[in-house]
Amino acid sequence: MKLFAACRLVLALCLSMALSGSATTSAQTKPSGRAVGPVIAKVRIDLFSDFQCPSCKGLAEGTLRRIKEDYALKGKVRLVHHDFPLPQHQYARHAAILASAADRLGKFDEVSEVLFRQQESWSVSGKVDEAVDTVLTLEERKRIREIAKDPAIEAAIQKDIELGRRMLVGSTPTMIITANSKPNPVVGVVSYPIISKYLDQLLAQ
Amino acid sequence: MVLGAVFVYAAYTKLRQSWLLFALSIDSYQLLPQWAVLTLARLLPWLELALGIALIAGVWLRYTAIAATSVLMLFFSVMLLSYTKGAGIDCGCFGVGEALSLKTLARDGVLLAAAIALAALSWTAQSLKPRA
Repeated sequence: MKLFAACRLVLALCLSMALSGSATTSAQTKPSGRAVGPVIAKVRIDLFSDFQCPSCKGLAEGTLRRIKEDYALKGKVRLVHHDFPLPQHQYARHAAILASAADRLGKFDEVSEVLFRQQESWSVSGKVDEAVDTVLTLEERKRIREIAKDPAIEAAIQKDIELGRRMLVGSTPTMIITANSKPNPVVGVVSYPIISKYLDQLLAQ
Repeated sequence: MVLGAVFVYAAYTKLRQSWLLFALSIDSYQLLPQWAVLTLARLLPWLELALGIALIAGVWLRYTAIAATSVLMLFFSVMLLSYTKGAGIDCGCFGVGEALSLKTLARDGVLLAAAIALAALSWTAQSLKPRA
């Protein structure tokens, strides 16, 4: 029985590492804000998102925030953020790089929140760094600029994009909700009351 | 027959999965309130199934063809509206996992044209029948 449990854990860990991509880079110094919830959670949500996409902002600021609070932080589901910057969004990749760099300082949540909050402004002006700076100290700003130059950050984003393509992600935001090894894509902005009913149904199975 | 089979298949793809997953597809169009999304997600697959069976069996063809045309016209309008708004969402046509695209619009357009033709033919054929 213990052997079975151990095997299951190893399998889940391998799957998580393979899917999480940049969420678990070797250079990680603090717990990642990109993946929330237990690795062996019954339900896993892989979110493919673009910081410059207005629908991603809508999903993040409404539904996802509540999923994180009510399900991921309570250990019911594992929520993993994957970067999927779309080619038509000029500054999305740079925003993803800064968010990934901030993750190494344990500031992913703060940076991703400000990127979405000020999306309308920086997506026109291109002043992504300025938006990010508003939630960082002077020391953190300096460190983030250095970390952002690390090729591993860019590589992790590319890995996320490739993972998304393998999972047939065609647009953002896309959530791949996996339960009992069965993945189901949910595309676009969906409301919290309906997705929570679906998650409850999966958790009750 | 073919149109009926398409309706039956569309119903099958929705009924074999959780109805809430289909509710999420409808919800992503962001056109309806929550109660309407949930009600439609419960009812629509059964309506499609009933329409499909009726079309295949050829019962009340004039009326089922009109009903199929109305349903497809509604789908097409909603899809077109969302596509022009640039919503990157799931079509929800045959279960989940198919993005709303020009391809899905073209397919729905062909089905709509077929339904209109069927409705027109069934009403024309009826009116041409010799009367005693």
